[in-house]
Amino acid sequence: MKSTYFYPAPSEDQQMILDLVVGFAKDELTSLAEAIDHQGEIPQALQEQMAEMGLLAIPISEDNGGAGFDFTSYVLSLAEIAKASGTVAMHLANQTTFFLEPLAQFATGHRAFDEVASGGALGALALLEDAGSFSGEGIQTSADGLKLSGQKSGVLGGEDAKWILVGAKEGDGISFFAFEKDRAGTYLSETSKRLGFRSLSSSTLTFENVTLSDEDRVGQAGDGAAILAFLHTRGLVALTAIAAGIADAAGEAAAQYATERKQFRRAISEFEAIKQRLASSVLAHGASMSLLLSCSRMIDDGIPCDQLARVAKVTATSGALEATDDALQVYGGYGFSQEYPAERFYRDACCLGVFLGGNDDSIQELAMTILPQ
Amino acid sequence: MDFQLSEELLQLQAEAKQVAEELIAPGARDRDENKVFPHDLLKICGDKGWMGCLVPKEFGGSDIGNLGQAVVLEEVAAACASTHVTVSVHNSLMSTPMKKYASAELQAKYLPQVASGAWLGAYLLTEPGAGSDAASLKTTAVEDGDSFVINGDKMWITTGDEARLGIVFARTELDESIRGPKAISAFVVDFEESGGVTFGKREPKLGIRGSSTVAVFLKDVRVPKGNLLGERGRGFNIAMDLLNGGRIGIAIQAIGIGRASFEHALGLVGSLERAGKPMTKSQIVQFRLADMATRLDAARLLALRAAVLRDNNEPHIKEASMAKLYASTIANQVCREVCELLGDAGIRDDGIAERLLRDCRVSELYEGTTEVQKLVIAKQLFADCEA
Repeated sequence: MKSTYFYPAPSEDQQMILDLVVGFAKDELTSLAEAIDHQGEIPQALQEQMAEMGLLAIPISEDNGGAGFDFTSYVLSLAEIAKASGTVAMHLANQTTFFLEPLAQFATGHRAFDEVASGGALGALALLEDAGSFSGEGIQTSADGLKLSGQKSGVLGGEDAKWILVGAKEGDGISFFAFEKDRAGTYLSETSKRLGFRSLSSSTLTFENVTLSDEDRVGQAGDGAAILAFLHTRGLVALTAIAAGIADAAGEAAAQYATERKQFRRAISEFEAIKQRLASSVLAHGASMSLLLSCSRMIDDGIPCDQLARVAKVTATSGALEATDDALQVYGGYGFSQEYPAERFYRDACCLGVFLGGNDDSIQELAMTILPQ
Repeated sequence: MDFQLSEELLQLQAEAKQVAEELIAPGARDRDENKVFPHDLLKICGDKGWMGCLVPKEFGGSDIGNLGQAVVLEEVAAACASTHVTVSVHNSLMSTPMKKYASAELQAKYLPQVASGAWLGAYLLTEPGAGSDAASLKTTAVEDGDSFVINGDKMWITTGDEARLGIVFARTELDESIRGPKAISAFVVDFEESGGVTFGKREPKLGIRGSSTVAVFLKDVRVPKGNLLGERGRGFNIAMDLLNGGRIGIAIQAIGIGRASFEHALGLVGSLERAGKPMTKSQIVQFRLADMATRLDAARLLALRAAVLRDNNEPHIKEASMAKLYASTIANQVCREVCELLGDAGIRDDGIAERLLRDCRVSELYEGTTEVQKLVIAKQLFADCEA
C-alpha cells in the first residue's frame, strides 16, 4: 500500500477540490487519455466541462474571477490530472499559470481574463526566442513606441490560442502585453506537434509592427522582470506537479502489468530487477511530492521559493524521465506498443526537461546560490 | 589488435554512406509518419548485396561477414531505423540459419532468393506468453507422414506479413517428460507453399513505424520433414546462436540511430544561441557532445569486437550481449540528451531528433531486453569463473 505524502493533512477546502478532481480524473479523464494523445486535441466538450468545474482558474481568488482555492490545491489537482493525462494537465497549467495568473496578479480587469477563465477562448504565453532559455536576456522582440516587432518560438498551444501574452523589450526593461492573436501584423509562422503533450502545439509567432495600446498591458511598463520571476517560479512548481503525476501513473501501470505478466513460471514482479525498475517511480513520486508541497505552501504563505522551485523541477522532471523509461522497460515489447500507456508516459516525460528553459539552466542558477557573493 | 578497417571495408562503408544519405535518409520521415514499408529501399539494398551479407557468393550473396555487415548497416541505421531493422533481421535471423543449418536442397531452393532480398525473411520465436522466457513457447510441430504440422501463435514478428519465409521455433516433443529447451526444433516455413499462415494487424508502435511488426497465426501449417533446421531438439540452441548475431545487428542499429542524433545536434549547435551566447561556447554543450561521441565510439568498438569474434568462430555470447546492452543504453541516452540540448526544436514533430528518440527505444527491448542481456552476461561471467 502506497502511503500518503500529504502531511499535515489537507484542509477542508483542499480536500474538497481534490475529491472533485480525483473523481473527474479517474472516472472520466483516464478513459479519454489515449484518444486525446492520439488525436492531438482535447475534445471541446471536455474543455467546456473543465471550465464549468472551475479547473482553469483554481488558484485565483473569487474576487478576481477564479475558483478561490490556494496554490497547493491547484498543484495537487494538476498532479492528479497529469496522472490520467499529461497533456490535459499541461493544458490547464498553460491556461492557469502561463496566462490567467499573471493577468489576475498584474492586470486586474484585463479584458482577456473572463473569456479565458470561462473557457470561451484559449490563452498562450509567447516568451522564448532562442533555443529555449527562460530569461529576459534572450528577448530581442521590441515593444518600443507601442509597436511590437520580433519572433517567439516554442509557444505552447500557440495554434489554438485566441489571446497571447507577450514579453518584449521596452526601453531598458521588459514589458508584458496580452492581446488577440488575430491583431494585424501577428502571424502564426510555424506550428507543429511535439513528441509528447500532443494536444498542445509548438508554434512560432511573428510580429511585424503590431500596434499595442496601454489597455493591452499586463503590469506597468518595465515591470517585466517581476512578471518573469512570477511566471518562472509558479511554472516550475506546476511542472513539478505534472512530472510527479506522470511518474506515479507510469509506476502504477507498470506495477499492475508486472503482477499480471508471467515469465519463468512466476509473475515478473517477483524478480529483483523488475522491482528495481518499479521503485524508480516511487522514488521520483515521493521526492517530487514532498518538494511540491514545500514549494506550494511557501507560495501560499508568500515566502519566496524560487530556489526550491528549481530544485523541485529538476528533481521531478529527471525523476519522471527515469521512472517512465523504467516503466516502459517493465512492459518489454508491450512497452513499445501504442496500445499500452507506457510509451505515452515516456514521450511526455522526455519533453518535461525542455520546458521553462531546460534543466541545464536551472542547474546553473542553483550553483550560483552557493557561490560567495 | 587492429583498429583499422581494410581498404575493402572502407570502400564498402563509403559506398553505404553515400547510398544511405542520398536514397535512404530522404524518405525516413515520411515512412515514419505514414507507416510505409520500405519496399523500394529493400530492392536497392538487395542490389548492393546487403540482403545477403552472410551468404556465400555462389548463392548470390556478398559474403562480407559480420564485420562487413556491421560497417555497412550502421550507415543504413543512421539514415532510417525502419529500413535497417528489416535488413538486419533478414540477414542475421534468416540468411544465417539458411546458410548454417539448412540442407543443401533447401539452400539451393531458397538462398538465392534470400540473398537478393526477393523473398524476405522473418524469425518466429516470441509468443504472447513467451517473451524473455522464450523456452516456454507453446507452438507445436507434430509429425504426420513426411511432414510436420505446426500450430501456434507468434507475436512481435518483424517483417512477418511482408515475408515469404519464416524460421519457426516449435515444440516437437510433446511428451511432458521432455521439457524446456530440449523439446524445441527449428523449421524453415515457406509461407506461400505451406498454407495456414495468417497475420494480425500491424502493431501501432512508438517508433520504427516503417517496419512491419505483426502477430503470426500458424494453423495446421504443413512443412516437409526436410525443412527441419539442424537436429531435432536443437532448435533452442539455434535460436540463441542466431540471436548472438542478431544482437550485434541491434547494437549497430542503436549506434547508427545515436550517431544520427549526435551528428544532427553537432551540425546545429554552431548556428544556435542560448541566452544570447553561441551554444558552441557553452561548456554544458561541449561536455555533453564530448560524452556522446565517446560513448558512441565505445559502443562501436564493442560491437565490432563481437562481429570479428563471430566471423572467426570464436566464443562471443558475452561480447554480443555486452555490445547490445551498452549500445542500446547509451544510444537512448544520446537521443534524449540531444532533444534536451536542442530545447523545443528537439522535441518538435517536424525535426529529426524526436523521431530518432522514438526509433531508438526499441533497441532495449527486442532480440532480448536489457535485462536478458545482463542475465546472459552474468551467466557467462560465472561460467568463466568455473572454467
